[in-house]
Amino acid sequence: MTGGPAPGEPLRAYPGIVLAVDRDGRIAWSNQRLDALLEVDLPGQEFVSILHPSSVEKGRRLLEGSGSEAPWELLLTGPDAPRMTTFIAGRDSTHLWLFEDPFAAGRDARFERLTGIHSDLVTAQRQLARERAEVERALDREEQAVAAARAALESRDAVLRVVAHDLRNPVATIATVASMLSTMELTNEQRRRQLEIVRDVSDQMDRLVQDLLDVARTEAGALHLTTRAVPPGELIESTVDLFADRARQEGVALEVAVAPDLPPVAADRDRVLRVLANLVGNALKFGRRGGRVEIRARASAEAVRFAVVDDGPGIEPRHQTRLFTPFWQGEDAREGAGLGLAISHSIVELHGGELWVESAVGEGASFFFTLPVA
Amino acid sequence: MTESLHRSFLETLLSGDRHAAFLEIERVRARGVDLTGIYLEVFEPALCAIGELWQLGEITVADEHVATAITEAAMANLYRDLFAEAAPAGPTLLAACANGEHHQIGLRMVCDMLELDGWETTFVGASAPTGDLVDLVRRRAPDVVALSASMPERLDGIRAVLSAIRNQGGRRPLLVIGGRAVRAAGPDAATALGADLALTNATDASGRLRAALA
Repeated sequence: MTGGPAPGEPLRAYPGIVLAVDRDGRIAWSNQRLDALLEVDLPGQEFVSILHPSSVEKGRRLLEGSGSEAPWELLLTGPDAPRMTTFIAGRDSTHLWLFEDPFAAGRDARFERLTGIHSDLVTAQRQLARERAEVERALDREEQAVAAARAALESRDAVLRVVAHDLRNPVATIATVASMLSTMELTNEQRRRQLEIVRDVSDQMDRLVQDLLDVARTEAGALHLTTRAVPPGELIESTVDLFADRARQEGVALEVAVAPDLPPVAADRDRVLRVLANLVGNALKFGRRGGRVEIRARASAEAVRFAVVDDGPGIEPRHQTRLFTPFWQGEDAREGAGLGLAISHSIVELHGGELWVESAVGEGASFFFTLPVA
Repeated sequence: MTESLHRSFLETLLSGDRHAAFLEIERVRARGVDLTGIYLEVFEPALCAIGELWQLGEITVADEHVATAITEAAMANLYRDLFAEAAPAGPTLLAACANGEHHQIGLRMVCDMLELDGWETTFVGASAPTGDLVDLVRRRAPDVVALSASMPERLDGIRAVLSAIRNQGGRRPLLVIGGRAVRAAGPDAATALGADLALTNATDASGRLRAALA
């Protein structure tokens, strides 16, 4: 297995690996550089047996003389495997000659280093982009906080305007009555009537303060309910008692339609009465003089659905979505702080129910709300 | 569609045309392919194809380096969107290549895809020497430390880092290894090198890491 083609002998001094491979794909001659590296005698070995598996296919192509004219980069097996070696190939009548490119190693190392530097740059870009995104998110959060603070300020201003406006009239009334009582000679009957006025406006102020407190509690999530089983008919009866006189005065027919055998609902009685009072009060306020207001209740799945239906002018669609926003008032609202529907909405939601409106201009308005069965 | 999505990009890599490569990625995105799709259906198959072409002797290592560099630059172009879309607050991962390892692109791709799945990843690449890396792990206290090696001679470096992390006490992160050299080292690589888990491919890396953390 020694010897080989004589023309190889002058190549022993070549500064890299030299191999001659015969037509059968066996190594015929080696300048022994690779033999030393691999610690084997190469002549007689199959050429592809010294290749790393990922380079075997490439080695076959090289032997067949197919494939590109590019330098042949082959991964060799052996002690430091895989080690990449670049060969320049040439052919004579009997052998394929392979010369290691002695400069390739340095060139490849330079490429490797440059790619490494480029990779490090991209890694730095990645980290920068990551931190930039974090800063942007922090800025977004900051802007949202500022917007929320601004909205809170605006809402506080609105509250102050409403409170100032709605307290000024009753306070003025009380002042007037006080000065009348202290300066004028009044009969007992006159005094009683004046004091009744004071009581009415005090009630009005108390309701406003109560509403403001409820809005604040709802916004802080601190409005708590005390629920018990209440028959729906009883809630509606109490509401009718409260409004019967006023309905009669305004010539409105206040009617009731309660389905028979309704189950009791889980309700905070006083708060649900406020919801009904708000809805019926609005129906009387905005409904048609001489018209009709109907309070209904019927079963609906695991709940009871209440409805307050009027035959008034109806509500424009653009207003319907804003009805339940605190302090919102329709253009023709003449009194009130615009809190009733917002509070009613919160109260129903706290019960686990829903409150909504169905209305078309000229066709009256129907407010519905559900309360879960007890 | 998936089959051919990376073809045009591969051609730009083979011709070494950075600009055309960037335009091609923009085109694919304009067709509605999301970032995960770009990674899984364009970058990954194109780079695999580059590797195969080298194995067949169709291209040289120099061509492969150029293709890698262009692909990395194309990724860098996506980073702004990638991190804007990412929703951190998921698990944290610190990724590094073994000291001296220059083949970073695979591990960085895994990190980017984890990022898209809500992970918070820090990729320190190849630049951190062993001591600094261990120190960084102590300071950041990530949920997972991922180390990658593509050349077999880097495995000793990985073993040294893992052992240093294990020995430093405190809450120990999940130790994960990956890369071509780990894959070549066979099924016992994790145990042999002192890791908890070896990930030999990128498919559902996020799911498997989350499962290992749980």
